[in-house]
Amino acid sequence: MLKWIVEELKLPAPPFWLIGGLLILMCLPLVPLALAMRARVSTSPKTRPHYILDMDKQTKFKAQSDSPIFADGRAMRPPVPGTIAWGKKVDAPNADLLATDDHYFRGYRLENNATTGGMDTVYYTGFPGRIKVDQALMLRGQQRFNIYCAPCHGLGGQGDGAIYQRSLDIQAGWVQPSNLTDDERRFRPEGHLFNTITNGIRNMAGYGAQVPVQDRWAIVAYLRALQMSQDAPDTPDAPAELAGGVE
Amino acid sequence: MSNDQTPSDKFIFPRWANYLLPLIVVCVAGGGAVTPAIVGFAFSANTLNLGYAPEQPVAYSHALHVGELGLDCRYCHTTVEDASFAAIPPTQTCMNCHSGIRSDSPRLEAVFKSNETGEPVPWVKVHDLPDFVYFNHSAHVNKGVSCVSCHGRVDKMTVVSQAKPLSMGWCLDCHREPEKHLRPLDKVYDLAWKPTPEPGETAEDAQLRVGLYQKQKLLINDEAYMTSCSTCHR
Repeated sequence: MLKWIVEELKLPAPPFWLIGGLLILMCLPLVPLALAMRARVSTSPKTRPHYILDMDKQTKFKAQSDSPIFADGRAMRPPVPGTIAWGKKVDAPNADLLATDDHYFRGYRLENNATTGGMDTVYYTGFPGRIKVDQALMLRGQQRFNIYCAPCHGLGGQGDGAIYQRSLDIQAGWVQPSNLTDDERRFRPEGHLFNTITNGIRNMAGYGAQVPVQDRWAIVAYLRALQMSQDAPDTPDAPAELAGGVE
Repeated sequence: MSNDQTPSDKFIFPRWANYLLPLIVVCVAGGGAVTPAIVGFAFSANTLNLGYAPEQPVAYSHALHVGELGLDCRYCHTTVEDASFAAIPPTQTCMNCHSGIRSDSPRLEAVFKSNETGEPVPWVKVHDLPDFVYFNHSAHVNKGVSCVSCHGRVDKMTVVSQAKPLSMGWCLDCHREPEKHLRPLDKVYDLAWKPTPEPGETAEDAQLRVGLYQKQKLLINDEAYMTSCSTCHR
């Protein structure tokens, strides 16, 4: 093509620097292209470039953002001690402050002990009136148990969860989590189990902040099922549509 | 310089200058076509947003905690099913285990300090939408959209990085055709889950079969609602 132009138009051959310059010019667009390609396939700790701001950053606080106004840097303010959030939800943090239903919110009640003059903790047996133990609650309990309890206690509740296995691997000296299906746990009142989930026991931290009240009762219900399954008779007497349905 | 050159020669264009006109035409035409393409490519969300992996105050590894130890997303991000925001866990959640495991590790110093002082650990937000987008986590995870659709395989990330562009066009891709992503509710937090193809079915067909079924079952809104401005912007 170039040769044809040169010969037909009787032009001199283009000088070397002209051809070279043209080639360089044609390569230049590859540089930003290569940089962009690299940015697409690599990770970088650097802040994302943000060229068009629009209203992306507004002068408002979103959940868990930081604020220069308060000394602790939190834009979301922790509840004032002794108060509860205004609203309808009975599961709001600290809702038990207002609660009259000790069984549901605490799992225990305090009773005067005439002999010692102090207070006794009496755990409730059975489920509180506003908890309906049905299959929906049981399935919910299974799901929540597997999320919050199984990491340490194991899917079967025997204290052999993945976190405990890990602590053995790295020799952390972690006390083995309780076997939830042993006789001690089996004969504890429901309220005691509920309170343990809420406030923790010995090395176990309380899960009251992570698991709402209703779900804690669901876990207690599922735990009862787990315990019963440990000495279940060989002949399954579950309805046919349920037998083998729970993994 | 030869002797027969007249003084005026230096003011005459050399013959190669004839190439300049076509060269300029080529550059303008070519540049005019290539420049927008490059700018579009370089400034697209896929280039700008992908791969953001800020350094965190604690080198928390999702690959270890989720991938290896099998913690559920919700063990830490407890609010994701009930709130618009999938909360970063409080320090207490770390301490549930780390009060006893690796309880003297210098790598966890920021957590222990926070636990003592009550000051929050200054975690850096990775997935950050513009403030005019009202994204709601609970609306998505309770309607069959898995974490993995927007966050990628976090269970394989030692350092969390942004895996999806999170641009408006990318959001709309799914809002127009949610069946390409929907899954059964009990698989939402199972990041590795993929629909099992029936014999003779491709992976895409299997996803469409599952997605269309879930779309009906979970009463996903129609496209008019899903692509309305006020669905995401108020």
